[in-house]
Amino acid sequence: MKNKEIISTLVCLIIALSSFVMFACGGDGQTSYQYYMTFFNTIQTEGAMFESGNALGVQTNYQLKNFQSKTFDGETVTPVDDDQNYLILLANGLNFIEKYYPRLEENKNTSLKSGINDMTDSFDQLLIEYQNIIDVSDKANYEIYNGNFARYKWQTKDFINNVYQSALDLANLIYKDLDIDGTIETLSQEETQTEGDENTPTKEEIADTFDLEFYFDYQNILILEDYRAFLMDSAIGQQLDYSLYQTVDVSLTLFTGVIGQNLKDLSAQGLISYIDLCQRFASERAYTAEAIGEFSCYEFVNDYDQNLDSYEKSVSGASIYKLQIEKYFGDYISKFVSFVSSNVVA
Amino acid sequence: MAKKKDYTTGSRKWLIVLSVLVLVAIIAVVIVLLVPGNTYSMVEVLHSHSTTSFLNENNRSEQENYSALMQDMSNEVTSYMQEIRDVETLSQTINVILKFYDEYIVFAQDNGTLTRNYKSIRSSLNRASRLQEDMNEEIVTIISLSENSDTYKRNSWIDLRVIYVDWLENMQNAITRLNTCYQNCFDPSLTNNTASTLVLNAVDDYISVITDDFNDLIENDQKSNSIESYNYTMNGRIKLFEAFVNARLTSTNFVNYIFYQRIKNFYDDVNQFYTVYSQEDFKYLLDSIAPNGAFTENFDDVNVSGSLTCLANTKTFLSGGDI
Repeated sequence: MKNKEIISTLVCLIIALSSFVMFACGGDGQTSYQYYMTFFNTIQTEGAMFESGNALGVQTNYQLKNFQSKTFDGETVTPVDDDQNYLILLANGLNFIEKYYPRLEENKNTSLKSGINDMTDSFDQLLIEYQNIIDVSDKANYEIYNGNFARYKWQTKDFINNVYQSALDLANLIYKDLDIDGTIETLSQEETQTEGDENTPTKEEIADTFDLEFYFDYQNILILEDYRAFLMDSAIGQQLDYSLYQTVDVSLTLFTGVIGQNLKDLSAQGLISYIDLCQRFASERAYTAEAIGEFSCYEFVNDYDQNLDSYEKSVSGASIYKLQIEKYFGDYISKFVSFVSSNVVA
Repeated sequence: MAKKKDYTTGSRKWLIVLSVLVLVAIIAVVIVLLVPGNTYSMVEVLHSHSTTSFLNENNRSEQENYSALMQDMSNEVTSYMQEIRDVETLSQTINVILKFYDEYIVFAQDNGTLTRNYKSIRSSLNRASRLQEDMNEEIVTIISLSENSDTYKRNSWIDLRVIYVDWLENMQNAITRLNTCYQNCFDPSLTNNTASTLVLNAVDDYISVITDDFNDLIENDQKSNSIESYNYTMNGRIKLFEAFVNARLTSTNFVNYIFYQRIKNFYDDVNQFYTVYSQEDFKYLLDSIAPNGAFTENFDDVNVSGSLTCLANTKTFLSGGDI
């Protein structure tokens, strides 16, 4: 009898715990697609902070409004456009998600929800800061306005970081679903079709059905993430009066020139060349990401007065990391853009 | 009668637990001491040597001593002046090579190749450092003595040359192994491709040929021999090696292979040279560089379609000429 009571108690406990775990982890039963849809409904209905346009070379519905600080010359208060890289990064990140999340409609995937939640929370905070800016814009003096703008900018940075995390999650999910690596492997083999074998597609047939548009956008969002990492992490979102920062700044404008362009119909050989380049570029991206993780451009400029020897004492290999960042955003990106403009973009 | 407590069982348990702990500690110590480095260790070792190597631009006092030595020697032993100047050029060229690897090794994958080569690279570079100190001491001694005998100067240089060649051989070993790491610890990338492989292999071949030449020189030019037996012919090879390294061993050059068809064709021709000829012939070609820098070997007896263009481009490649 005593044993039975113990067993009954344990069974009840197990059932209660299981129910709790299922409730906690099971969520509300919505898919990642539904979460994205809710997110975009929210930012489109409540997002008075966005406007459509092409002012930054990027056609978007998500151009951030009122991204301006104010200066005072003793007589007149003048609004000044703040760091335009924020707007470029944000527009491109949201464009990517908006374009590709509908592909998840038939997908029951729920793994992206946490990232979408973070992005939504960050948006809610941004909305509050935006509203504060609007509220003080006409009433407060320029110093108070700038204080509010600093908070608005800080929250925009947080939102950008969350948007890119979610965009990369989405991009990687679709990449896997499309089995792009499998297709690339088939393309890289000597022959895809032997004589008399009509069931195996030829390389040209594979190239014709290859989702080039997604692959192109996928590569671009990966590279944009490198810009985000440098500008938002290494430079902590501050505009720096330093040559390396300016190299990245100029390079971002150059790079965004190819985004959203129409694409050529690539032959199998053309596709293989482009994929080979992207794969090689991926290695350089990995080195650059490591370099950005180690080299704080902000600290180097502000705490070390651009003195590499001093900074090297604190960050071993700083000169090598700096060099890799320079090469990547300078020489490599410029050649990559040139290749893509000539061979991939129509 | 009270049962006697069995202390022995408890003690044995503790003994076993203690033994296991000691064993684990020993294994941990062995791992730390014997399993050689990772990428980080390699970076530390290479970076410290690449910034302080012989006649490096950072070693101002060393450079000043060497300049003083050249001045000193030029007054007494003019026959050796070309060789002394070439040693400076060669050392500075080797510094460029170390610097190149230093800029990449931090991104190397920490794999078996890196582990296998780390200890040898470290010990070669460390030994080279010690030899560098010996050379510096020797140089300071030579220039500080007011001995003006040309025999004394000549003998000093002969001694110095032996240490230098030892230094060179250690550098050769380190650089060859760094090349192995470069080719096996990086995925194909913009900077790891056919062009980089050809350039880095050619660097190894150049150093190998030049080191062999120096060893021949040691054998032929000894203190007991007359100075008339001294026959120095390396000037062309070392000059071309310097030009080759400065022109080819750059990330821009490697990246251009991916982006520019003209450069790709050029390197593909050089690559074809290996198919038509062989690596031995490649070294033979380097060996044929005359003191004036001209290649004297033309492989006239080989008649393979396209081989002449390949040979011409290979000569341009090795001499650092414009592509």
